[in-house]
Amino acid sequence: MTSEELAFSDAIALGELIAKRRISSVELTKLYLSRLEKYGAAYGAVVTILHDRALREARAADKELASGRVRGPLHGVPYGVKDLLAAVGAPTTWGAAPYRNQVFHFDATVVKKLKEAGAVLCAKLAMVELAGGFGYNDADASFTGPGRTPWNRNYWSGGSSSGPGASVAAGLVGFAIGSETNGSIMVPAAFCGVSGLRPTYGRVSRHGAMALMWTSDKLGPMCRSARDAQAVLKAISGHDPNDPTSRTEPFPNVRGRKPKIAIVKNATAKTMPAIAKNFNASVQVLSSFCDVVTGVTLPKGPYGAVFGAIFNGECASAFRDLIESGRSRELQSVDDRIGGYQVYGSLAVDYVDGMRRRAILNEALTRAMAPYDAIVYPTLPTVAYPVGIPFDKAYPDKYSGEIEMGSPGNLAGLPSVSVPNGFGEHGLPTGLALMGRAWGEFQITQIAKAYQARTRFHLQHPALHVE
Amino acid sequence: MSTRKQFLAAAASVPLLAAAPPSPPPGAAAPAATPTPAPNKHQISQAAKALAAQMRQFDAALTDKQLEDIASGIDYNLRVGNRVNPQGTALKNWDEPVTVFEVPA
Repeated sequence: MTSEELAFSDAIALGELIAKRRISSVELTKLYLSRLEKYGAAYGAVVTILHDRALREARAADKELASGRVRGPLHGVPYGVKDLLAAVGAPTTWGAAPYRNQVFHFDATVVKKLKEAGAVLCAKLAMVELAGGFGYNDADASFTGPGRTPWNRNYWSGGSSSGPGASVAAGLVGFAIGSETNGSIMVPAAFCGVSGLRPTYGRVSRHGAMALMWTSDKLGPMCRSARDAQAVLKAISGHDPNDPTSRTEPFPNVRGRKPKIAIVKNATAKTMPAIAKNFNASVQVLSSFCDVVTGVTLPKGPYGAVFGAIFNGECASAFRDLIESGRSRELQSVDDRIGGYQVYGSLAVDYVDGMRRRAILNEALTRAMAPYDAIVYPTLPTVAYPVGIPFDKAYPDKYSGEIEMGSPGNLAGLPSVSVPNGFGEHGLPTGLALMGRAWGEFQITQIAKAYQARTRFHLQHPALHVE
Repeated sequence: MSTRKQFLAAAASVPLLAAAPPSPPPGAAAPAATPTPAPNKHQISQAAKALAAQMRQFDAALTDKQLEDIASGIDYNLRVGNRVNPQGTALKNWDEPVTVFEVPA
């Protein structure tokens, strides 16, 4: 196996190689550290490489293995985290210049859990500043520069988990942890052609993570396969006393019957032609092992408005100190420099009304989804946006740019997975999304795994360039 | 909570119940954690302009253009609020908020 083949293997395969002593964790860690050094900056993917910590953890993993202890499928596998997670040994910058020297002397719960699983932390990965909280409108919205998709450096990697998406796609880590408030795992998963899993709200502790919107922030895996996403989620999930919203819940699965999936009406009405073509082909594949119901309509919103009203209040509160300090001016994106003031000026009554409306919408959506294991849709209506052009000018008029299912799913805290399902304009990857019922992550990843067993899109990887 | 809601719902005068609110236009109140369409060109309200002017207390170096953009964003958010509960008619008195948000088992 070449080093290139190793670098692009999925985490489960890497864990098996380590367990069988075909490669040591130290060797694999050194490979990924060198790739992070070589390619990380070219894709705006990395903030801090943790050489010492990574090698220390890798040696410990190898030592345990030598003594006969294997902690699980991620034992010895190198990974990276979005730089909004606290980790000892590096600053936690939140992607934003005002916080570039911020240091926490503890590990986030997710990092602790992955250490317990034997995984090796290699890097703090780039992200859109403040996870996009202040309303950026172009790719250059991080103090580390624009994130770029490894499939074409002239195009954005997506955000706000830009570094996790690009690093996984470029084979710079075995897997990564991203976060999503509304699209921040799903968007880079689609734009980078990786398998991203947004868990149910509460499945994973956020202790040690930057808060953006308490009632919607979630942490989840970004991987090179759906089976990886399932394994990583299992390792990081569960109740944590430090995050009262976190819960230990079972992972119900689809067994002994065909999964039942729903295709929403007009799913491809506002998509690029290649997105529609790939989606229709994906539905054909899904039809071979799922019962498919087409033309499904979900309860009417206004989801976007409700999400926005709640978001504004929580974001302004989370970053009140930054906003009132006037240090927004240090942010990279010109939109972000004033975005904090825009949310700061929102009304409390709108926030409360948003939370009242949310209860009604969530109840209706839960009822509508009850008959299905998954709602299936194109992750995004377009391929990645070009770097250097405002998002709203990238594909003007023709495509909405909206994530049609983003606000409904995130308002209700529902899980969703995005897997690569082909390529579109400019040779860029496209994504297929499956949104599940609450706590149904294994149901949707089981379907995604079966899809990946019948396709090869997740096995393709980009030819990389150095700056 | 459901008991109180049921009681109040039953007690309410049905003819006074409002119709469902209209759906927002595409791109409305887009989430800020993902790329967002710019607010439409719109007459900025005096309230939004007044709120925006207050932001100079935090950064005296904000330019007039930036203040105008802030006012535009505040105005947009106020209109988003109107879509959540148009003219106070969509939500009913007894519709309680998700105060502690949890996804039920």
